[in-house]
Amino acid sequence: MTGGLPEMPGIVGLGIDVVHVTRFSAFLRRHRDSLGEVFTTSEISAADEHGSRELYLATRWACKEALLKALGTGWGRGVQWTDVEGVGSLLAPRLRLSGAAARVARKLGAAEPIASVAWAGSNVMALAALVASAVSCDQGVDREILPR
Amino acid sequence: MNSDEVFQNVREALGDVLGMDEDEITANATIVGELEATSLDIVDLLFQLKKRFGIELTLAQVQRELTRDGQGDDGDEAGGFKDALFENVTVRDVTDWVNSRLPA
Repeated sequence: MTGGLPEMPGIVGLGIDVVHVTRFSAFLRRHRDSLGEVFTTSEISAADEHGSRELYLATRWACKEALLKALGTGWGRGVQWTDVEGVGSLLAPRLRLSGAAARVARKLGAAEPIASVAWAGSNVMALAALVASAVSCDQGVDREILPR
Repeated sequence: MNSDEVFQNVREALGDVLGMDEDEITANATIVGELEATSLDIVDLLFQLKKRFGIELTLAQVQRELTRDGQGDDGDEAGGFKDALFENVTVRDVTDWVNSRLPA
């Protein structure tokens, strides 16, 4: 068995975040011109095409935060929010890593991250997990942990 | 703008972001630990400071210059979250950093 937390073999990082959409909407209104510092061009374009721009970006933000926690760096050690890009479904997004985030993930031995999102009232919650990409053995059975 | 005025502006911006009374925001208070700012609050604050003081900044630059271990290690060390670099930054640290960015 390679990598993984002692209690969760195969999971090399786990993070969770909750965003209050109303609070987040105020942030968006105040700093419309600076959003490129935290969201990628694709994320902003997709948000503009979505029925609720605020909900879309709040969800993507929650995913970024959860992933940064899963990396163990938070906003630190060169990792930026734009290093994590949410694509596809809002509730089961793919998270593409680049820059320092990708480097940290590789050092952790992680495959592509897994994320899941839930909405409850005016709150958005995201969970992100980094799964070991190495082949693992469990009680003599070879089990390849496949990335999503 | 003198240093006291910068400090007052930083306090106002923080009070605005965190929904706190400025009197509760002291120079030595840590922004994350004692004032309980979230990452969103920190980004909100930095963008507000950019507007208030007319200073150019990028988040990557702030991360390098303001945080304790921000020496551009490009994420070579996957430290635990408890080592997050912004945790020990105080209101005074932010004030000093803004002062360093203002024209003499």
